[in-house]
Amino acid sequence: MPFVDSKGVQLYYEEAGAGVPIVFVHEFAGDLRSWEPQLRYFSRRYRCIAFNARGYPPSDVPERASAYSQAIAADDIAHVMRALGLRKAHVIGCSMGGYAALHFGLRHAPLARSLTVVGAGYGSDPDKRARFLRDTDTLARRFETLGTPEAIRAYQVGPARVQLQNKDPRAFREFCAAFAEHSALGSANTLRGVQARRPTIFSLRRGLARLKVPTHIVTGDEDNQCLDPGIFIKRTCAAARLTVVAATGHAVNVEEPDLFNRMTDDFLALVDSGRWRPRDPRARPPA
Amino acid sequence: MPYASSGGIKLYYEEAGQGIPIVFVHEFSGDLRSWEAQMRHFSRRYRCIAFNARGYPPSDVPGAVSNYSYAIAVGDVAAVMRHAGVARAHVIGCSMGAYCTLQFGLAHPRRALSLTAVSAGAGADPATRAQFIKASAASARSFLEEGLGPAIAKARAAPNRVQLERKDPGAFREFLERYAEHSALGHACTLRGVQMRRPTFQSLRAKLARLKVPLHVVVGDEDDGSIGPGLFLKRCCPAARLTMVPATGHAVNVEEPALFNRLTEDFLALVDSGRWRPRDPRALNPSTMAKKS
Repeated sequence: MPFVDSKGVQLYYEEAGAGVPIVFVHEFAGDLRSWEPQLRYFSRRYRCIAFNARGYPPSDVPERASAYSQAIAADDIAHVMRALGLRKAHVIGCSMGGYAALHFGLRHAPLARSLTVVGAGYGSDPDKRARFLRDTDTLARRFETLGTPEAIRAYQVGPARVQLQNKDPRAFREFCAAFAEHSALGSANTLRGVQARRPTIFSLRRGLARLKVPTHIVTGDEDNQCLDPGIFIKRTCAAARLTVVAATGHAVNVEEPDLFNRMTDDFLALVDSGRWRPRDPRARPPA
Repeated sequence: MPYASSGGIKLYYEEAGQGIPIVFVHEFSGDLRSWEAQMRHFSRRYRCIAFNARGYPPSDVPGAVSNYSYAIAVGDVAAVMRHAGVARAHVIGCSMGAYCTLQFGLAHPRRALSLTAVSAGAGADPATRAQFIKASAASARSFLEEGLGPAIAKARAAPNRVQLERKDPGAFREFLERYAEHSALGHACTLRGVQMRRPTFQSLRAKLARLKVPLHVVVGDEDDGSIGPGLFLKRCCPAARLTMVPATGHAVNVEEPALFNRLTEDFLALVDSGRWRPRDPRALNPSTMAKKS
């Protein structure tokens, strides 16, 4: 099985296709298999790389939470790219992976051709911050004490997951089955090291205002915790465009693969053709 | 030329195709020609009807403001449907027409198969309401005193129109040329009677929360005045779904016709198949976890 080394931690990856590279970064409740509809589609024209984050077997599962953080997650993307000899790639991430893609863009801008950030924003709303931290801690303890299949029972039918369950029960079953295979220790450490401690989207204002990398923010209209952060990024960052997908929850790429692939294809083609431009200054919203 | 009569006022309309009817309701700065890309696409499977609002020739242009209001505009949609022998239709409106579409759904829920509201919301935000009224009043005066010129100059550089200019200069030119053919009197009356006096979304909250008609709200991510109202509609109305289109300004159907047609087609097919459902109540849980059952 193919692995890359990220400062001593082995990260499992898969590859498909040839051409301009795309790196896919998965969400907390998923793994590289979440990107299957994207790998099948984009490998026709791109070199697609998807990897499992640390904590997600077959990648290594470091035992201490201190080996996990938002910055480490962003740097893991850079290590994967370096190990595969990629100088520049489109980076596409969902949720936790969306945060990682965004931080990758902020920390390693010269390595990013573009950023696609799906469903990022959980834990950003100041009014709901305390609840988010409480939920995250509860979930981490469930992983530690109950094991993965029992720990995820309530989470997998959360308010931004029921849309997938209603729309595509087959995909939902697959999502739950793959989720249940995750490492309890890796999931708990990810929650404590990455999720609970990452900066909120709103705290990234200065970096986002200066970001020059073409960025596509994608959010479901029923993924309530991501709507305001998405609009904030759009208004703060002239390089950002925002798509909100109708009647859709968290993992838009899993829930609406056709539409997501089509819109992503349009966005990547715009960037690769050299025709992408940031927001017209005449279109700036009133301060 | 085909006209429908609404309380003695003649409304010009065009038709294309056969099947389940769709009625298109245009925006303030447009007319039925704004829907050309939709008429061509949807007439393959639907009976498409687009009409010019009162105040937009060749429809009549009554000279008294009392002949214009949001309620009269809703009645005009019903009159066009009656004239065409249409009992129920998908109603699709943009901006002023989207507001009218929503009010049509509230007033005549049994006559609406679905509602598509593109870029509704100018003047809906309570924070900028006073400013909106003031600007509209000034604009109405200007239409009467100086004609269409100043408004067209303003539209040319509007923060939610420059996207079209950049993406599709030909469509932008066409938009401005058609605007120049409008009636200045009709615009002044429409501003004074319809735009400035219509109730805000906030004041419709209780009615919107009860709306059972499938509703698709569509906004551009750079149409700043429509984003807040779009979110408001999604959050207060379980029948609403919200699409935000990236790098896009006001008239999404003109600016991104391929995407708009595709999304609209999916929505109409969902409704026509009987498989449409309102928002799942479980999706409103404030926690990321499901409630304990």
